[in-house]
Amino acid sequence: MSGTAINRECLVLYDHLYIGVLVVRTDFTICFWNRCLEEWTGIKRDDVEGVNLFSRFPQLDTPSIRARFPAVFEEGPPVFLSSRFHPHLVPSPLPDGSLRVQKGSILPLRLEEETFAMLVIEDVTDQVHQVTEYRKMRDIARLELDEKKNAQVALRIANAKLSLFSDITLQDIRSQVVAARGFDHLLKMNLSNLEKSKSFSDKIDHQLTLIEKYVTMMLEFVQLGAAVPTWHLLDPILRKAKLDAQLKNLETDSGLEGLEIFAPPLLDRIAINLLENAQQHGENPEVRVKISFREEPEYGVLLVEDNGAGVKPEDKTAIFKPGFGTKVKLSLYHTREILAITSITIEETGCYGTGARFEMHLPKDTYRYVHT
Amino acid sequence: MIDKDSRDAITEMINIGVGRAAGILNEITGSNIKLRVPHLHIIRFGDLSDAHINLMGKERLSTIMQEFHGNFSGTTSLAFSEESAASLVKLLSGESGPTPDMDTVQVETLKEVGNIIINAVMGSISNVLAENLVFTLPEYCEGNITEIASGRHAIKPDDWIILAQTQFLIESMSIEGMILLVLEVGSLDRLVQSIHQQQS
Amino acid sequence: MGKVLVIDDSSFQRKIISGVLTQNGYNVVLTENGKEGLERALQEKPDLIFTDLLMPEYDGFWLLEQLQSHDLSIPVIVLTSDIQKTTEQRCRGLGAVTILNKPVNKEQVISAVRTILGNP
Repeated sequence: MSGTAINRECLVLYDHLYIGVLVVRTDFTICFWNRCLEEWTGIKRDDVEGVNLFSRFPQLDTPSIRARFPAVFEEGPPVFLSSRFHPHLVPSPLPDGSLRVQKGSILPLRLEEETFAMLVIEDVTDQVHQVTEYRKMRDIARLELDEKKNAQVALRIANAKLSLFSDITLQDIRSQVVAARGFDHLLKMNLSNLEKSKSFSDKIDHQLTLIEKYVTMMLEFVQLGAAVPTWHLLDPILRKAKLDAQLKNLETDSGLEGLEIFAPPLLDRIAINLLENAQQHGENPEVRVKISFREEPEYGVLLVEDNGAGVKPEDKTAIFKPGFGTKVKLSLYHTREILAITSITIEETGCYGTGARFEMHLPKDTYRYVHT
Repeated sequence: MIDKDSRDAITEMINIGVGRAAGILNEITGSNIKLRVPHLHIIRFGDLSDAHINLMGKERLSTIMQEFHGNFSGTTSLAFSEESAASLVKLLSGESGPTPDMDTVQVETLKEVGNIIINAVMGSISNVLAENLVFTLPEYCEGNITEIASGRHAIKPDDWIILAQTQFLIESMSIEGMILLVLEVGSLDRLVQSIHQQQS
Repeated sequence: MGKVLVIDDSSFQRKIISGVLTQNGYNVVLTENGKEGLERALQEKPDLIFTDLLMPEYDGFWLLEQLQSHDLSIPVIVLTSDIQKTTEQRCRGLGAVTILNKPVNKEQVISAVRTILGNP
């Protein structure tokens, strides 16, 4: 075969296909340019056959394309060119002025004792357009899903506010009001007795102080406890909680490194609460607390275990009821309600006599690891 | 069993292929990519253990596969866990956002990455063998190692599998992949023979 | 007779290169890594060094830097599968005379050696 001539009879089939086909020699001279490419590019075959591929189409003269030809000329494996990295192999304008998006393959072609490289180009404009539209729809759907999740969290916050208002704190306030009214009645009955009047007045004052204290505590818990959940890095929270709870022996495992938990801002109070529980109810001045985290297929498990006395079987459910326990500031009831805002559950699963074990189950979207 | 020198030779051929592929990937993506092959396992299909099958975890693998035929036949594949495949494609494409399921365009991108690596590795091996093989274009498929090794052919217990665990180091991220080379019975012997001939 | 030091962590590659060189009359010394390579270069004062680029711990770049700092003006041919221009530029900047891309064939090896050393 001489010059740029190539036996067209072998390649005539490619003139009938709606894919671009061009054939080059080992010196990258174009020796075949099919009808589809003529149509796509407006470049006639007479203008391009016999010309060097890379001087005519410099955008192909990159190491990532040029360096892959030699293996094809040696009849090695074919080359695949994705639309992501090579979107416009041969610039082919569409009626609206945009360029066709293309993908390609470079295949060895053996004709009459000579090996050529055949570049086959497909138009994937519609396909890529569909994918782009699909991605837009998917992103919108994701956004709507996130908004729904936020709405659900907001609803849980609203419910949490209501439950935090409820029972024990309100009961306490009512008790103080009843007591205050009682002392007020006695005061009115003893107005002539200065000493008794002063005594009842002091008692009313005391009740009012208690009521003020409960209202302040309640407002604080409602504001903080039912505030918008955020991501909290656990390690510094535990270190501070250890100091605040005055706990001597706290062991944490490597599963906690870089662990963040999605919860309302009272998480640090919850941590102090749990450590203080161990300290004060453990019946052991040298109580040791161990905190660990592991992943299960459906959720993460955060464990707070101590080697204290443990929880009696009959109390395991009761400790999470309102009014149980007086020694710590934030009750386990409140702890459970606050954690529930982001669907984290807590239960006591230890053995009485060997120590308490608080097991929290964290849904997959409420924990993550970050690089610190 | 194959001798240490032949094993070393196969490791070197895969390393050469992977090294060449890294250069091309760097040019295409503009990212600083290093490719390493830290571990190589050469075993018969019949001796594939759970430890081998679970080298890439227990999930289905996203795989790019090319078959070859000639004096000997087999398949070469590049496999990733689904999440790693999606992460790799996003990193190489410079996309951001949560790792999505792989759509068609991303599959095509992974096909090119796989093609670059597979071609470089097979080019390296073909050089030694001085054989003319015919290859297919890359295809995308999903499955575990056993399913991928089987491909479209009925793989036999005596067929050899070369598993090359590959690390992609892109910027500060490391993504694990696996190159699987399935060689039909007799092919590995021919490869080892060619290696010895080259060395003598 | 020319003495050539071949440094590569792959025994396969060492055998291929040393085989070609020995067949063509060159005296060959083999080592596995950059550190040993430097020691042998200082001891043996070869006429030419073939070095792989990517080796664990002491790689080809390290070796090129050490050869420069020891003022050893021994011509170095780098063998690498890395085809990037930046790698070639870096090697040449560190004094490499020739860069050959793996897999190399016998003709490329001999041609490169004869260009530098002439016939043995």
